[in-house]
Amino acid sequence: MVAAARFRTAQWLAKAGFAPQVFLFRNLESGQVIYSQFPVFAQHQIDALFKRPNWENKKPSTRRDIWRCMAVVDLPSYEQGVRIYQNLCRLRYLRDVGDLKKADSLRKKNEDGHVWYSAQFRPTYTQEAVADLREALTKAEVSQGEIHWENEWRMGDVEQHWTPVLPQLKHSILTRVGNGAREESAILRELGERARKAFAKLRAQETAAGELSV
Amino acid sequence: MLSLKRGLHSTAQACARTKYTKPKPKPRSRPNVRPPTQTTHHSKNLSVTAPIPPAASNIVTPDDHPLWQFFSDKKYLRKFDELDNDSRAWTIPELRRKSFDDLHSLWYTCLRERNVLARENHLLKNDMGSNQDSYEAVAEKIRTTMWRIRHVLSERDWAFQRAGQELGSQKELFLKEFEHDFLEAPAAEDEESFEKLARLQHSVFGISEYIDENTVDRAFVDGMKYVATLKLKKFAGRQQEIQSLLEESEQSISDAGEAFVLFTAENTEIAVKEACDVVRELRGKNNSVSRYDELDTVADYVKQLAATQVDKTSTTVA
Repeated sequence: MVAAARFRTAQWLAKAGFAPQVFLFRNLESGQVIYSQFPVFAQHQIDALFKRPNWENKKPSTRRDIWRCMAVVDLPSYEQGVRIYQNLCRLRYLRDVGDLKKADSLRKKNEDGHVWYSAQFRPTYTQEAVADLREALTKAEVSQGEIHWENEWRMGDVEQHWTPVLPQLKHSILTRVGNGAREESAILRELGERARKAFAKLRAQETAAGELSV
Repeated sequence: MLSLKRGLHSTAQACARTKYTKPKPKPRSRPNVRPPTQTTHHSKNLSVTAPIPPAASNIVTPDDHPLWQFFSDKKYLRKFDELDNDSRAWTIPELRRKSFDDLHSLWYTCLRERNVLARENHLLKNDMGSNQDSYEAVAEKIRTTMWRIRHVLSERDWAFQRAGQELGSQKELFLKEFEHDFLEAPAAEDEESFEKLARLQHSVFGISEYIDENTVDRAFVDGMKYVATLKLKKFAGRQQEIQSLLEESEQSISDAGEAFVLFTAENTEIAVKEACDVVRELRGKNNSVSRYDELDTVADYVKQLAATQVDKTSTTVA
């Protein structure tokens, strides 16, 4: 069984050598977004995140060529990583099932009253994912952390949307040198490795500080 | 409906619980209870918020972005009065006076300006739906300049080809005349005569003064042999050894290796004498270049010479 095939606990993630991160993937065709605890995703995530598929929000396929990494969130602890993932999944559930009417009222509509689209593409899903990420981080009270965005454009106006609610959060851009689409797995692995080292360092500092005070 | 449970009319009463029953005992305390592995839960106060649209203002375009070449002064669209409406295309007589480099740079200036105008015209016509032809009118003038540049270059090319054809029939005569004048010139005018020779080798044989600019072909090798022979003849009257070498080689150098040595020697008596010594050495070793391998061998020599010159200049600079 691959790691992404089911929900994994903080303990499991730490033991298996993953970093405390959450990954967002976006569908190039439809603009839909998948949240994952891993640098990869599987049918499990799609089943969990698309509870009420309809003609406007079809259940996407796992074709790897139409999914790109949209953002990677580095978090200070595994528990928080899992919490953020749960928050994101819950928010998706609220949008699709629980608070459907409110979510729908916030969407841009075309002249027929449907969610605005061009061919299969509905930009609102990606934008909602950005809003949900902010909401999830805010409600989980994440003090520190970093979001690696695929580009500057995607994160929206930082001064308006991010700094007022999450002033401590850092934003950075994934490297765009070379063929990003082909090297994506390598880039994500490298990011994970870096985050894991940073987490280990942080833990070491915390334990050292604890010993000092004793 | 018929009840399948059968009994007497007093059975229910007889079976009814009349006494208080004893409760189940408490479960025994377990010493090793495994704590739950999953402790976190999603936040309870989550709410749906408005989507965050992407912001183009986050993207900063660098000043050296290549697509700026399609904009004039980074303007989206120039106004009509900003265009130079009073200008005219370059005339052919004006262009004839310009060198190749001037025409080359003018061509690319025109090309870039036309790119800018084409973009602006496209915007005007398609996005704004206008009928104005101002951008097109200017672009048409530039297009006129461009075909005129091509015309002038083609004139030059034809002139060069014609001259080459005419020279073909009279080349022998011309070279003989030049040889006569060159050898007759007194020793005091050596410098000027060799400058003339350099011009001749460039115009007739296409040999450039800078060795690394040359491509080795049949004309190059022939020219090299001609120049080597002339050099020998020039200094033969002044030095006995050179005279004897010239006589040995029957008044002309036909080996490409020997010709290369003499050709690259400085235009002085001493240098040519040294080159003669080298040629004798080559002959002593029976070291001759076959006529079939001439081009390849000379190309190698030229490459080596260019490489040593580059080394020399780099060391002097350092």
